[in-house]
Amino acid sequence: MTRSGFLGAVIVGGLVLVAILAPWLAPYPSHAGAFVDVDLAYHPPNADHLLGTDGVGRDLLSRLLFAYRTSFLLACVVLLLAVPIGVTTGLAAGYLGGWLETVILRTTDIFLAVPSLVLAMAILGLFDPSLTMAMVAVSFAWWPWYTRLVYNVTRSIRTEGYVEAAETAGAGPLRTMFGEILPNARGPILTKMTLDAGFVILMGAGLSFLGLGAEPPTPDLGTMVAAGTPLLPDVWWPTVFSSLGIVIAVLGFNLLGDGIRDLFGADESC
Amino acid sequence: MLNVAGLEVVIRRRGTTARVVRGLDLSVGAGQRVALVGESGSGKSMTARAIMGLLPPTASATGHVRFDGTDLFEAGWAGLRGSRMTMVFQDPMSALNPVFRVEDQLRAIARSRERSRLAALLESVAIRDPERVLRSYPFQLSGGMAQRVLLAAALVNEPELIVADEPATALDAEIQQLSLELLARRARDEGTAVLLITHHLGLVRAFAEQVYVMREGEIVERGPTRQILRAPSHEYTRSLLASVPRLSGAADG
Amino acid sequence: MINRLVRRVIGGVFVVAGVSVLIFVLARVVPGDPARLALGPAASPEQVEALRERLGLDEPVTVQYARYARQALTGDFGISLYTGRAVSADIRNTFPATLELVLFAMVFVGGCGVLFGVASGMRRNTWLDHGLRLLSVIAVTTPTFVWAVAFMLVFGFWLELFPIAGRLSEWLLPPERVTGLYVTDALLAGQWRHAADALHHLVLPAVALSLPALGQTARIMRASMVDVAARPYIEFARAYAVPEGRVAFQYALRPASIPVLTILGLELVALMGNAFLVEKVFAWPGLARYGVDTILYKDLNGMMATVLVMTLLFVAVNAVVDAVTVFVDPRIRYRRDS
Repeated sequence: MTRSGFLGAVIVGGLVLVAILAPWLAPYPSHAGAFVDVDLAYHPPNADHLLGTDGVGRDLLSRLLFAYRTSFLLACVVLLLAVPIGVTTGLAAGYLGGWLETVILRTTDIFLAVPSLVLAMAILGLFDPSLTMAMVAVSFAWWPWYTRLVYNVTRSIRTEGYVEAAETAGAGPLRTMFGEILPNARGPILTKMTLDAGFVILMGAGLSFLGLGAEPPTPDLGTMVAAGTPLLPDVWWPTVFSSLGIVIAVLGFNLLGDGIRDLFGADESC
Repeated sequence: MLNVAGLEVVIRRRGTTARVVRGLDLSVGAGQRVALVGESGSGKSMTARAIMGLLPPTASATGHVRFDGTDLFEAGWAGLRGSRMTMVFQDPMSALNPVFRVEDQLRAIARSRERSRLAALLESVAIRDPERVLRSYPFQLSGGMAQRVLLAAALVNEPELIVADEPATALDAEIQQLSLELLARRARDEGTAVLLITHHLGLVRAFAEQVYVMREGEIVERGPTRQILRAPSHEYTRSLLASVPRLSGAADG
Repeated sequence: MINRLVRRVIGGVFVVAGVSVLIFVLARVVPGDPARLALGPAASPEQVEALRERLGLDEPVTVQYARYARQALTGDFGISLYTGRAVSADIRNTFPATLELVLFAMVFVGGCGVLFGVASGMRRNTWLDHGLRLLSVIAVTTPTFVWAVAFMLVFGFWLELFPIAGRLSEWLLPPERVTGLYVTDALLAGQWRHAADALHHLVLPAVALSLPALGQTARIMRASMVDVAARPYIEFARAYAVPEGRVAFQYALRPASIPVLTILGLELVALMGNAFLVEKVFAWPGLARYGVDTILYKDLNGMMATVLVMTLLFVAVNAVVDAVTVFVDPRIRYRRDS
């Protein structure tokens, strides 16, 4: 793997570890919840609170560590929902063809014409915003990308020897789609999933920045940026550190995704 | 016209270096048809590129390549390459830019920009409707037609030396033969020196007066084509000959 | 050619109609009672019932959609529950601001993105390439709202180089409306000071908005240039002594720009999504900020119209991009079908 890909793996691995171990790593685990101590409000970074404290006196480092749990949970759930839907529809459209292909592709056209962020926002606005709802909303906006990706891969390999060999050997459509074609699409899918984990985190942060994501007191990167913004420039630490928190996570997934792409020798299209 | 002496080409790749051409001597006189033959990986293509100054960035060459007495490794190729010495590329479909018309691509390299001259040139390479071909984009041409355009590109500035690197290998035998006939006519009529790079002894028999047999970066055998092909002295040449079916309808030479 | 044009128009109409159905279904079917949503939990059942009747919510969904579509086609999107005005008037007031912002950002994306990508691809593995690639990755991975906040802080508060809110300084009156874009309108009216001021206000939000797409464009342009540089036709051009400048900016750039053109439409979609964040941060009185507010206030009419107008803009820009692609890539022009 390339050096930058390795760096991405280290960042992602480190952050996942941090998220899992947050209850033990965080200096003030109770601050992840609805803890309030007005005497501690807006303390700049110091020895007790390495990244300072927020408006109700909670330790920002502790909240940042727990916020990664929120972000990774969002990324995992969204990909777990969106990828299977996208893969199945993409395979069906690309392999079975016919009217199914037309219906599926035209549907993705419609979804892709609306910004994912706006679609997710609209859904969240209609329901009451919460982390669970955000997961559903983002997945709803995200699956067509995988449909398109898997469709393109399927179209390019469906006439290749091993696919036709499997068909001749009597493999049914399901067997051919999931047993022969899908394994050959794993490089692009894995690359896109890695890159997307970062972009889902980015979108989740955008949603909660607008107040449409995780509800308080759940620690969340976007909410933390939003909470800090009105206090700029005097109280800079909540905004700066939570922004950096997002950037590092997204950067990590991006570098790792590029590395995986090189590993599979795929092109820039995914 | 062309004189190569002690040519060495090394390729650096991941810290290691490979000597792909080792002390090669070769010469092509005006009006002469010479073939450099060898299997893929023998270093014949790198030799062609070294002569044309088109080595990839990872490769470097030492020795002497003299064109009309000028040492090209010292003086460079400016004013020579593309006009007095030209190259016929291997694959006609990838050598032409897909988004520009043939006419624009020929004009960009031709010293004379007159359309009538370009049309006449295309006619001379057996293109029946030159006006249509000039207006076309490369993807609108057949492989054979594109190969003729490449030949025309090589001839447009009336060069003194043409290096043909496996011309039309991807295409059928007929267009290969046509290309070589056109080059041979050029050599006979205009006194152009032609160096053919190929792995195909059948083409060599039909085309070249002189042949150099190359293996693993070195010339293992050289001499008049008839003599070499009738009585090869080197084991490698014999094995090459054994693997090639005789080509019927060979031209003179 | 004509076929392609016709297909494109039909496709565009289909997408807009599809989006309208999608949004309508989301708004009317999924969340339950829009009247209750709009009025909030404090409203009395009578008030809710009255609004239901006024909005025609008791009729079947298909009838509701047919009426909505018919009215939308005449430019009537209903009354905004958020502003209390006609949605069409709100859109007329807010859309030009967003259009100006998005167009400006797209100019940055197209100009700088392509330039950086070409520079990077032509000077591969030099410090310039490494630097530009690093910047591209950072541009892509940093959230738009973080760019917006950072620009505001650095260039607005600390360096005081640029204004941080609105489209025009308070002491200036907006130029007479022709296009609705302040810069062009001011130029048309010969108000140089107004044009400069509007431009000055545009810089920070437009650059913040453009950065992710700009980084993405630079990356794809670079990859494409690297790919094209290895093609035999580039070597062919060099072998025939075509001048280097012409090789780079004609022989390489034109085929290399095709992949960038094909993703431009999708980049625009993402950019419009990000406009929702940027306009919020910079208090930009545009359609995207209106959209955010309508969503936050559960104003269905305003929300649906916002999404529809943005989809129309997307379809229009895609048509332009398509025309440019056809011009750049003759292979499309001469393809008979598909």
